[in-house]
Amino acid sequence: MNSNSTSALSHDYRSSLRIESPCEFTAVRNATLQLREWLAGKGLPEAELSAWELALVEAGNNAVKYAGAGARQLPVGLEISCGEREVEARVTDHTQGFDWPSEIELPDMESESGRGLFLIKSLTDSVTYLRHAGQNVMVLRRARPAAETEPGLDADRLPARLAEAEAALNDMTAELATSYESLVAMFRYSAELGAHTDVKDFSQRLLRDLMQIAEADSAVLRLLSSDGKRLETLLVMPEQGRIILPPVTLTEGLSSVEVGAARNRQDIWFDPGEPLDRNDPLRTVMPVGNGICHAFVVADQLVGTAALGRFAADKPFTAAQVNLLHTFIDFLAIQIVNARLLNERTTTRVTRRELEIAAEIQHSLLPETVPACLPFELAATCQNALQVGGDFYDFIPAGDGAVLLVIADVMGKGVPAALFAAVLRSTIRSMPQLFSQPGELLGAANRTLYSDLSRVDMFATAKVAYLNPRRQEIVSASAGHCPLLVWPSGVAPANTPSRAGFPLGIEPDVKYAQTVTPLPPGAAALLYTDGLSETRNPAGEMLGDKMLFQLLAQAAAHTSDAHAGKHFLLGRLADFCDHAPPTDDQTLIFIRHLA
Amino acid sequence: MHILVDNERVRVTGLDGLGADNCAEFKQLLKPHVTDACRVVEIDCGPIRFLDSDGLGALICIHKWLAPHHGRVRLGQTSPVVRQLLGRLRLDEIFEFAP
Repeated sequence: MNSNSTSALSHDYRSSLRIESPCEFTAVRNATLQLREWLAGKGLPEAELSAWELALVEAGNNAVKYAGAGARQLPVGLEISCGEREVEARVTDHTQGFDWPSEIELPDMESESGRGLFLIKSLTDSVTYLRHAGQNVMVLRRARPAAETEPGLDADRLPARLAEAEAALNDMTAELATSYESLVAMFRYSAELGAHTDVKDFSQRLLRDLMQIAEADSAVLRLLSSDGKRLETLLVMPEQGRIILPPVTLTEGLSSVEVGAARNRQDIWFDPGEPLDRNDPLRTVMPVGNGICHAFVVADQLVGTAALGRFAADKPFTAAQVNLLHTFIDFLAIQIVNARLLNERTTTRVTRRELEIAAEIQHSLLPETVPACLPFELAATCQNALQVGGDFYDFIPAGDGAVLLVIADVMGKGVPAALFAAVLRSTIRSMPQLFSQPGELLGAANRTLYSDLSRVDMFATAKVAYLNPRRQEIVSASAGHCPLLVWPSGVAPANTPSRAGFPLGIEPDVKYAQTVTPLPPGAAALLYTDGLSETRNPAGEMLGDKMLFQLLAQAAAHTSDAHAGKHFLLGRLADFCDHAPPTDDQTLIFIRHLA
Repeated sequence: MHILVDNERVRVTGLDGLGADNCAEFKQLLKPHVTDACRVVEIDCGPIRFLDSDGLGALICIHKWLAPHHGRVRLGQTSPVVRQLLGRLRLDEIFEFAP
């Protein structure tokens, strides 16, 4: 197995050698010596060998020098291919990359650095630096000097030379055909990029094409689990055997080449000389022959692994076929990541729409007009937080000039909370005979709603208050809701009452006590939800019922009607939280005796 | 690599290559010998079969250590490849060359 591998793959017309070197100067240096030796075997003259050795060292050293801490764990790829007219080298780095300068100037003579790029450029005919997310490739090309004129061919050798040329031509044709097929496939798949495609179906078609073009007998595609701890099987091909490969854990599956490739983010080859480990799960699919496992990443994030296998022991994958694997699988990786992003976007849209619906429901629950209840005046507001909750208030004319005030907070957010708020509102409105008895009314509403609320594990707090202008008093009952704050003129209560009564939907049969509170001339009263009292200032301190009462007292002292009192209170609340948007719905009913 | 100190002269022999992988060590070994009294650091380039831009950076560094005391770096037995490299980088004026 070549984890730090050298893969020499030969064709008659062009051959190549690829080395993945650890990201260290010494290792890069040793790799360039191997490449030089290999080029020497191709018959390059000494001057050419020295030029290539130096150019490769300079490119490789750059890959080491500018690699960040994470990138130092990744190999530097050095690949060289030698044709009859040209030598091409590719140096893959995992640095941040840079823009290749259009002009390269030599630094000051006494500068100790800054000559690497100049050397690379002057030693080669062309340099291209291709930047990608997570890795970059420097492509160096230099023409190969014309071979010395051979002595005249004798007629006896001519057939042999012709046969060699024909074989070379056949190989070139085969490679061109492969390239054509892969190009056609890529065009076909490109049309699906960005569309809502089933990832498994897409992967299956792509892998099938890849296997055919790369002449592979088997393939395994695994994706990294959402928690990033395992490689989970997406596809095993061919599928006839219905082989099930269990997930492999990245921290434990050390005998697995897939885990090795994923952890080191590099290709791992296996062949009869260096076969798969006995405990490697991949052996069930690729028991003999050759293979390669490729880890694929997008934006420096591991997405998964793809393994290709071939049963024939004497037919390793060629460089072109390995390139094909990289191209297809990296393309697949982009499609997988795109599909995930599309799913996330759809979910976000659904959530946003759900919130819009909830907001519409909540808005529809609020009374359009405020009934007259002289000598009292009423003002109310319901301010939604970003996530719509189940707050609502209601004013219901209760006969004889009285008004039933309802304020409630259904536990939860979104559509379910808004729907239960609507049901609660309707339930209360359906019991006009109990409007003057808020305790009885809450008990009856609880009995009606208990089975529905408890079945879905929901509950609601509510305060119901019967405002009686004739008796100038308010009769209220509470189902676990915030207290009624009352500011009688010139009298400040020693403390504020706590939340009383069970919330609706907790117990099937609850008796709710009711309290009669006089509202003398000039009095102000406040019904509210906990979104008000639980407002926090930038230091994280909560406002609380007691401080809210102080704000009510200030509002009563500085204003003379309910609307002004409400606005005063909301202004002070905004000051308290430094005008930060509310994190919970804030609902209040301000009651003012106008006399 | 061997370092011989002879009065004002420091002589380096047996250096077979100077590049990114060994230039830091090269400077570290030489630094104690490049004193105020040192006038020339002579490097036998005969065995050098490889020199890269970082190796050249190390030679320039030694040149800068010596320059305040009018010292020089002298390169001996430079191969055509090394000479060509120095010429390519227009550094052939900064060093002295000895046969």
